[in-house]
Amino acid sequence: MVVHRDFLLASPGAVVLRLGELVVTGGFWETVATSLARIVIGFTGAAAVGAALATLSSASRIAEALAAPLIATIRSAPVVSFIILLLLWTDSSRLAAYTSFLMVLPVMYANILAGIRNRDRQLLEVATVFRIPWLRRVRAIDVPAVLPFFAAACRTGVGLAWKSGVAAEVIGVAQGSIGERLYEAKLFLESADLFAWTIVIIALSVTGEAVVLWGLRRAQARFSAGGGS
Amino acid sequence: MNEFRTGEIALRGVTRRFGDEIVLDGLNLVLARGRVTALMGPNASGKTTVARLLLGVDAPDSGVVEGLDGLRCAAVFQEDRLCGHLSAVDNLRLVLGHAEWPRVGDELARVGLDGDALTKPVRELSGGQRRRVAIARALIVDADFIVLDEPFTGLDVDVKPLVVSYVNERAAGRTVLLITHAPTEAKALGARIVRLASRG
Repeated sequence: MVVHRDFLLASPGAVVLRLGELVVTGGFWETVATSLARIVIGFTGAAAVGAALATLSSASRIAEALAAPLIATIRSAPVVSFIILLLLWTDSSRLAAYTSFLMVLPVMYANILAGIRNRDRQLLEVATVFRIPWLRRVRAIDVPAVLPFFAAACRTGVGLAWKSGVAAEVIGVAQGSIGERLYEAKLFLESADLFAWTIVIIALSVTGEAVVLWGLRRAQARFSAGGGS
Repeated sequence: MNEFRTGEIALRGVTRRFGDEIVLDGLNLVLARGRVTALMGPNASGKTTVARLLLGVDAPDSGVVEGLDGLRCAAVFQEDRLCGHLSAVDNLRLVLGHAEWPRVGDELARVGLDGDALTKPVRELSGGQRRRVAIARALIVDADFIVLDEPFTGLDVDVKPLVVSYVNERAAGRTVLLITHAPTEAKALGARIVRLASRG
């Protein structure tokens, strides 16, 4: 057992000190912004494509037959396989966005599809009988039914996007990213940096999740207030 | 109000099965134009199945449903079937064009709903209040054909006469199918009574 070696295991005090040094630098915020932008792109892309695929799958058995094996493959394949494959096809600056997208997509697809299938059939019959226009039906019946499932997907997906996105940045050594800072911390045995950046990732993930869920709560309140409009 | 289209609506030789169970077996039923027809019969005799076929949310295994093409339909279902997160006003707006929205408040007042009951989510209303919202939703629409499936079930005794009177007024001149167990309700709406026999 090795003790008194900060390069192997930094003390909490050293980590807090290092974090304090980092946050006052402009480079820190540039690094955070770079990774944040890539992961947000991957996450929102997964939400949009997942929603579109789930909608198609709920409407067409053929679409579901085509989408289901694709999603199952993405879900089952090791994330590192995707990262290495993507490294062959694209440059490392796009790696985090693509990896986050691929990791979050199956979660979004499965949850949104479950939400669509969980819609109240009796209310859908009301929409048919009264010939409620499509957009109003979506707002009053479809969206409120799917939102809780979407929120659950977001809760899982935000953390997944950060974990897989940063892993991709580390493997691809994406320039100016949080992953690159982690890679350098490993390279130079700077465990204080490693822990400091890990705390930053956790904080970004938790904050991201809170922001997404706050937005969804607002959307839910908006639909509750005026679904007929 | 629009002039209601009152073409003949009919089931001819309709059979409907659910698994091995035959719910309707060669049923013939013609609804009188612009009149209320009360469909009565024991439980599980197929009354609601008839309503579902006429509303186009179910299809017969054999036989035909005639006279519904192009008709605007409305219904009070056996269940309230309201959007629980929406207010009474929004539930009615959902089935109306924007130009008709100003009528909503008056229509709900006709069934004794006002104040908070209009604006809070309907899931927070009492069962009787929700039933009145469901009734107003069906009758505010300028529908040519209306199904009322046990519409007065769950209403408070003190408001029932008000609601029956409202339904009677709104149903006048329209083709209506009333499903009920109570001959008094059929009589109150001046309905022609048709009885479905129990099977077996």
